[in-house]
Amino acid sequence: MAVERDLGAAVALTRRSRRDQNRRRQPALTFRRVRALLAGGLVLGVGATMTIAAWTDQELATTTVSAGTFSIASRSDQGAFTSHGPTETALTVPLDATGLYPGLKKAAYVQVQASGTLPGTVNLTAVTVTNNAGTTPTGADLALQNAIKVGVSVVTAPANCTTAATAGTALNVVPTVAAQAVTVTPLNTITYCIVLELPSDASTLAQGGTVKPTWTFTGTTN
Amino acid sequence: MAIKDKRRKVLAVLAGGLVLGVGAAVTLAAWNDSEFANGTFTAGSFTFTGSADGTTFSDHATSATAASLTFGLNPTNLSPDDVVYAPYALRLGGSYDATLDSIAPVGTGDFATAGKLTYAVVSTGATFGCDATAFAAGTAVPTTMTTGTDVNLCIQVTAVSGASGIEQGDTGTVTWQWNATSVQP
Repeated sequence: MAVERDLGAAVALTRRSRRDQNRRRQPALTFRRVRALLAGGLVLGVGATMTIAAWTDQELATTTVSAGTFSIASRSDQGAFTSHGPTETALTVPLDATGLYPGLKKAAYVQVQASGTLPGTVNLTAVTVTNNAGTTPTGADLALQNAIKVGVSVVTAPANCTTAATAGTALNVVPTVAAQAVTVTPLNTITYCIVLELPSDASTLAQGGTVKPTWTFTGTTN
Repeated sequence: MAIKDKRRKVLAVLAGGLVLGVGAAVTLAAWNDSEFANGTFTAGSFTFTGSADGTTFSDHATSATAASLTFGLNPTNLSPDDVVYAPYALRLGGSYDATLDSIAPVGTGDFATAGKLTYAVVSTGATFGCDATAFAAGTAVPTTMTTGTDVNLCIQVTAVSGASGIEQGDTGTVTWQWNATSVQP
């Protein structure tokens, strides 16, 4: 609109000034040409997009994944293996160690098996000692605890668990036993032999004392 | 008057020009011939197949027909920190090269919960096969592939340990997906 109004005013101008006028119109013309090119470019752009449309195909691969289970169970006789966890009743080891006197030695076995679908290792990891009331031993109980020596070893069969085994560890110390592999196929059984001795030099203060040790066997998947 | 004569002369010349123009148009009538160009148009073919054994390739285009992966270690009895590996190969057939997009694997069942398993895929180059060694030597999965050159992949699945990791008895499926899109030659 502005251009046309200028033209109207330029009617009376000389030829020379009209040429000047044309020169002034040049930018408008250039702008139109650029706009035309841009429009063309837009059309080209649409064409190019169409060309990019392509075939697609997909490949899928799948698998079933499942977690296994792992647990261990134990027994101290030839009965069934059952779980004795932190929240379950502990297995009673039949040491028959009541009425101990200096020089007496007792032995009993504990067998451990894997009871899930996964293999792993099992190890003796802890021992806690309480008195009969479940509290920390004092007095005669403490004296008995300090006097008792224990030993834990791995034997091939229950018959091999005898009082011939060494009992050299203090009751409140975890005896050193190598970690044992528990397998699922085939199922194997680890037999731990626990020996307990009241040495002949036991303190007389231990008389009448009662202690209740609890050993913890921990299984771990490989 | 002089102006009127001049105008007549101009008109006469213009009329002559018209006649000449007609004459020239007639002279231009000539033999003519045409040229025809012809092209055969055929759509190219594009196939994208996969193989879990490296030899038998087939199409597995939906999750219902997904290929079953073969893991070196059975992935159905996992414990925390277990790592299992499976190979997979992709093949491009037809007349086009393609861009390759790897889609993040999708777990179902107990593994729909993220964090129980972690996944990784590498390329094993020209060799089909996948184990810990092959995985360690692997390179990034390519983003383009060409016909005639299989893309051999090595898939690693790790069972995560810890509180939010894999739990005893967890079970589910995991599906991996790759998309190929043809590119203009």
